[in-house]
Amino acid sequence: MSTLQIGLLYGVTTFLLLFSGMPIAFALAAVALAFMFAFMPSANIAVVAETIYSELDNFTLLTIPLFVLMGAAIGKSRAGEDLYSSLNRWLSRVPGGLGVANVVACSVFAAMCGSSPATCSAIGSSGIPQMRARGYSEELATGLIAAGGTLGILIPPSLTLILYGLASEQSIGRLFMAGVGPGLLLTAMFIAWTIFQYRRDRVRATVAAASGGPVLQALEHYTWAERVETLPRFLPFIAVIALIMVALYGGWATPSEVAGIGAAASLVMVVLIYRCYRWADMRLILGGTVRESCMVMLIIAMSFLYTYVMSYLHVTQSTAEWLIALPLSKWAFFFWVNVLLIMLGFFLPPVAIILMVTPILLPALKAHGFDLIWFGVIMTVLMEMGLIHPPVGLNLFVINGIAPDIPLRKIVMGVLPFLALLAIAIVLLCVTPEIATWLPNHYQGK
Amino acid sequence: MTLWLRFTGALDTLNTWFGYLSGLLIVFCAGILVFEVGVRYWLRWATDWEIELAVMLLIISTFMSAAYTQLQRGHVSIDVLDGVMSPTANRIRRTVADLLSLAVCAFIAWKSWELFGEAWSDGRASNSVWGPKLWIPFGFMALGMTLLCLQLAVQIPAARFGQRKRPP
Repeated sequence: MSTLQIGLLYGVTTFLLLFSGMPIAFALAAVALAFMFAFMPSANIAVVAETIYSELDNFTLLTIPLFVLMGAAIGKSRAGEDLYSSLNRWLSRVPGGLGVANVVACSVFAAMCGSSPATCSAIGSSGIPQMRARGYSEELATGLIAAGGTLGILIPPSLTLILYGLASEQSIGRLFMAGVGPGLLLTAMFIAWTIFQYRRDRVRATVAAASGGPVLQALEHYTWAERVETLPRFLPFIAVIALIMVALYGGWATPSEVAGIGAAASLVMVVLIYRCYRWADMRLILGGTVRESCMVMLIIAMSFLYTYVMSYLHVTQSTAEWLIALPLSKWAFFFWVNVLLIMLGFFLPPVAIILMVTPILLPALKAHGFDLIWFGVIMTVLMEMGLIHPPVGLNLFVINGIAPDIPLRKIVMGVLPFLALLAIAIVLLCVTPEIATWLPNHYQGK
Repeated sequence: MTLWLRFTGALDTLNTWFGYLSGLLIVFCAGILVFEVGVRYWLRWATDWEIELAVMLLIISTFMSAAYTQLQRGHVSIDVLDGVMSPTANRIRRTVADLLSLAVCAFIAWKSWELFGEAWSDGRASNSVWGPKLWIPFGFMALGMTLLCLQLAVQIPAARFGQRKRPP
C-alpha cells in the first residue's frame, strides 16, 4: 500500500471510530493499534505499554492535573459568587457596570481556574438572574457569560496552551505570556460590546416596563465603605494570581512547579477562607480533579501513540509535504487552517484537536514563516470559538443548564456577536502579532 | 443475580475509592513540588527525587483513576450521532463502541502486566540518581487498566439490559 492509501485509510478509520461513540482516548488507541498490527513490525506492538508509559513520563505534563486541581478547588467553593459580588460593587458606577463586572469576573475567575465550563457556571449562576432583573436582554446576559467563560482557555494558566506547547514543543512559559495580551484585548472587546448593547437593552426594557411589562430593578449604588468591605473576599484571588505570575515570570519556578504552588495555594485558600475541609467538600474536589485530569491525560497518552504510528508510517510527513506544496499564499493557507480548525471544533474537544492536528500542521506553518507561539494563541482563540459556536458549543449547554428557562435559541443569538468579536480578534492578531508576541519577546528575548 | 449485583456494587465502591485516592496523590504531588521549589530556591539544597516522584505519582494517579472516570462516564466521546440515528441503531452503535473500547483496554492491560513482570524479574530501575524500581509504576498501570476493563465489562451489559440488571 502507498503512503497516500495508508494515510487515507488512517483518516477514515479515525473518523469512523470517533463517531462510533467510543471515548476519544480509546478510539485513538484503537486506530493506532490496528495500524501497528497491520503495517508495523511486531516488536513495536510488544512495547506498546512502555510506549504509552514513556509518553506520560514527562515533567511538563504535571501542569495539567495540578492546574485542574487548582480549578476544581476554586470552582467548588463560593469563590465565584464572592468575586462577582465584589466586582459588582466596585464597578457599579460604570455604565453597564453589572455586565462589565460579569465579564471581568469571568476573566479573573478563568485565570484562576482555567476551566471554561466552571467559569460559566460559577459566574453565570449569580450573574444571569441579576442581569435579567436589571434590564439586560436574555441574549446579552447569556451570551456574555458564555463568551466570558471561554477566556479561561486563553488567559494563563491555560490547559489549551499547555497542550499546544507539548504538541508543538514550544515553551509553555512563553505561550502563557503570549496569552496575556490577547486575553486582555478580548476582555476589553467584550466589555465594550456589553456597554454598547446594554444601553439599547435598558431603553427597550424601560419602555416595556412603562407599558406594563416586567418591573425593572433599580441599579444599586454602593458607598466606599460597602466596596471596601468586600476586599477580604476579593484579595485572596489577586494574591494567588500574583503568586503564580511572580513565580512564573520572575523565573523562580517552571510551569509545572508553578502549577504545584498554585494548586497548593488554592487548596489552602478554599480550606481557610471557605471552610471547605469536610469530607463532602473534599470528595467533590478530588473526584472532579481526577475525572478531568484522567480524561485529558489518557487522551494525551493515546494521541501520542496515535501520532507516533502516523509518523512511523510516514503519513505525517507526507501530509505535511502535501500541505507545503499546495499552491496557496501564506494568508490563504492560514485562512483554510482556520476554517479546518473551526469545523473540527463542531465535533471535537480542544484537547483532541490540538494533539491530533498540530503535528500535521506544524511543518507547513514553519514553512510559511508563521511564529509558532503566535499561532498557539490563534489556535486557542479558535478553540474558544468552538466552545460557543453551535451546534455543540459546550458553554451553550452549560448556560442552558444554569438558566433552563431561557431557550437555547436565545443563548445562540446572544453568543453570535461575541463570535464575531473573537473573529475580529483573530484579524487584529494577524495585523498586529505583537499583541501576543511582545510580552514573551520583551521578557525572554526572541 | 445477587452475586452479580454484589460484584458490580463492590467494583463501583473499589473504583470510587481508588478515584479519591488518586485525587489525593495529585494533592501530594502539589505538596512535593512546593517543597522542591522551597528547598531549591531558598535553602539551595540539591533536589534529586522530588520531580521524579511527582511524575511517577501522576502516572499512577492517571491509571488508578481511569476506572473511576469510566464509572462516571467521564471519558469524553463524540455523541453527535445520538440525535440522528434511531434508538435501535444507537444501541447497536454504542454496544460495538463499548466492546471495541474493552478490547483496546484489555490489550493494553495485558501488555502492561507483561511490562510489570519483566521489570519485576529484571529488577529494572530508573536511570536517575534516585533510581526507583520501575515495577511500582508499571504495576499500578497494569492494575489500573485491569480495573478499567472490569468497569467497562460491567457497564456494557448494564447499558444494554438496564442498570444493575443481569443479562438474560
